[in-house]
Amino acid sequence: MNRALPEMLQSSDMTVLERQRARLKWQAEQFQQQNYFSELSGVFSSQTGHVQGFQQGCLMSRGGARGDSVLSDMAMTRQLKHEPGLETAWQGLGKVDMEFAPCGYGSGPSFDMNHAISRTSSCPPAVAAAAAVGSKAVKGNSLKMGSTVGRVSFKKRKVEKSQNTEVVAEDESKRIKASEEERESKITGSSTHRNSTDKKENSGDTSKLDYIHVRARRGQATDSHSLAERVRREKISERMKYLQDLVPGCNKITGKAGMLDEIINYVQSLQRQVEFLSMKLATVNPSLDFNIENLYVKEVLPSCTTNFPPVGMAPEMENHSPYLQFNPIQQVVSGCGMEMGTNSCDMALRRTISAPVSIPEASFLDTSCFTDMQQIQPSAAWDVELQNLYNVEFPGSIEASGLKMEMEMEMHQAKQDCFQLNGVVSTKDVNLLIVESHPFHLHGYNFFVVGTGIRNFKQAKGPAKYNLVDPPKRNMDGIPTGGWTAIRFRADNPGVWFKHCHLEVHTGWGLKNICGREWRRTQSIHFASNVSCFLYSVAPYTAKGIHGFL
Amino acid sequence: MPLSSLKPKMRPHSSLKQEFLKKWIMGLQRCSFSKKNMSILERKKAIKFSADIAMASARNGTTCWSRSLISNASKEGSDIHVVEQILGSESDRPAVENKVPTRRASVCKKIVKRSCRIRRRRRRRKCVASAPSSIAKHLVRKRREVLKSLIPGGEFMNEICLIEETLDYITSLRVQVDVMRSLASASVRASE
Repeated sequence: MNRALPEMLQSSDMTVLERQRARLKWQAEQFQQQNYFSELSGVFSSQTGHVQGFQQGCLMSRGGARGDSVLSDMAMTRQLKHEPGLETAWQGLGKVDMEFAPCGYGSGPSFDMNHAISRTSSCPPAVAAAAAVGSKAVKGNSLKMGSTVGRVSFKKRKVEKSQNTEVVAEDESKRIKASEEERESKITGSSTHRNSTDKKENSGDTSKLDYIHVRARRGQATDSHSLAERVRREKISERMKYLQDLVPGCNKITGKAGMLDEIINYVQSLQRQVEFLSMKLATVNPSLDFNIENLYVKEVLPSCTTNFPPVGMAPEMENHSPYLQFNPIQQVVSGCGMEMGTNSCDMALRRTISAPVSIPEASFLDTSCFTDMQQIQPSAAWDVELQNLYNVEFPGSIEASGLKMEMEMEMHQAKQDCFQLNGVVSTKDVNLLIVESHPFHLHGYNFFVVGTGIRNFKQAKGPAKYNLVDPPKRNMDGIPTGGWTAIRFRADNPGVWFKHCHLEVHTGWGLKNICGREWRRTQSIHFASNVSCFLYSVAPYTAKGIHGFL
Repeated sequence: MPLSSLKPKMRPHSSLKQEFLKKWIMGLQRCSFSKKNMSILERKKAIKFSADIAMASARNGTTCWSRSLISNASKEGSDIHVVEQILGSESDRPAVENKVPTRRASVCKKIVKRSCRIRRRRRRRKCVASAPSSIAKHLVRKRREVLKSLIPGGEFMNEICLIEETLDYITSLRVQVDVMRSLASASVRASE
């Protein structure tokens, strides 16, 4: 029997459960095999660095398998040794007939893995009776185990840890406490669903072949195709969870189609931002020479006051002051503790600053630009002609000579004004002294009315209802009582244009926005109906109580 | 592996940002060196192009989208020197060429897909599937196709791969946007 276990382990495709049982039996008989275990424990401890339990079953690369599975198995037995309570439970279970029907087949084309499925055809009645108890508890865990492909598993260790403590426990774990209950329930449950890895190879060898053992659940199809399908689906859902964390605003969406929708929107918006920013950079720099040192020197001044507390960093920076070649900013940099530098060969700021170099974190000046982009969130189905409105086109006729930074800044400013005012307005909240709708008139443009609504404009819900198919084109529109209207137009008419409420009493907002000089851009502007200059001055009188009445 | 560089909450490494910035500036210098007096559109294209290549090369050929992006860029002859400049520092150019899915493989896949589609269409015409599951599948399939069109090199990937590549691509895009935005704001302020 000395040789029986290793042979058995290496020869057949066993699930972890059977392996454990066999091992424990063997171990009870072969108590003298201390040397073997100690040797393995030594090997295992050297591997503890990499192995996170889940990853012992995972692949480092496509098609490659770690040899840790063997070690981890052994380690599991070693841990089992320390639990006398479990051992008695083991022995109480009696012998299990182990019959295996391994079948292997190739799964998806890119992964050189063979999924082998084994199924126990018989199990002792005691086990079966106890199965029902533990199966429910373990089912939830087992579902998470999904794939053993390792490419993704390294992605989010933190997230995985919480998810995979149960997973880890199921296979081989180093955390005895966490896994004890799981293992117990798993041991008693025979119809649980888990994965395990094959141990065809000797310990320490890596092998290309790897089997995923998937135990079929009760009432489920057990042929290879459906099991493979299930594994694949679990892999996909696991990755979709990562995507959910990554893409903002995805937390509440549960369906695959909705998630994909959000992902598509996000990717499109990011790509559009890249386009927009590259266009902006093109306007800023007529000759494509980005003087990094100048840029970041000046960048230090405004941003460091906001971002970095000068307190802790000053002593550190003084050491580096001899290296700084920019005297005027020396104090600033030392004061702010901002360490900058890039590897550009133009850099005058040397990289002798040993502390990690960081590009100044976004003090996003272009919040207005960004909100602009954000407001133009596309929905999946768009009309083609309207889509053209959102491409940042550039009239080829206007050449670089005409571009001045002041204009850019002014537009920036103007937009900021516009948005700032709007921002103030919307947060200023509902002003209900005069509850009526305002017809507003815009000079210089005809716009499309894409949306309207009551109460406050909600970024989440509002744009979803936009009519992007056939919006009416006007230059005057009424904002509903206590509501908002969204308009879109191409700002191709350079100049300062008046926008005001057409009721004479309400003398308008006097917004000096839409200085669309060289930029053709559409803007969504949301007006709250009950704000005008006139009303704005009356704001203090509005009681929030009246607001509650709406 | 590429995904090991992703942190749980997706806060991009500053090292990735620096690498991207460095490569991007290199590419831009090369662009400006070659052509003087570019029009604004050309400039924009050059900026975006070099940014994309820099981003892709920051991945060092580990992800599929980066490889296909670089290979697409290398195909058109005009800007190949920019690509060389950016990639020149690393020695992974030969690796890049090898790992890109070959034309033949992609053509084979397309043929298979087309035949499957035709078969499916014939079957669909016979039985109008109005079951909610099939509708859901249809929706998901549509969106998956859209996603494939968005990610560079997406047509060659299967589902699992596609989602992984999307994850990586999103982080790279974010880094790109962050760096470009900070550079833009710095330039704006510098010219005040």
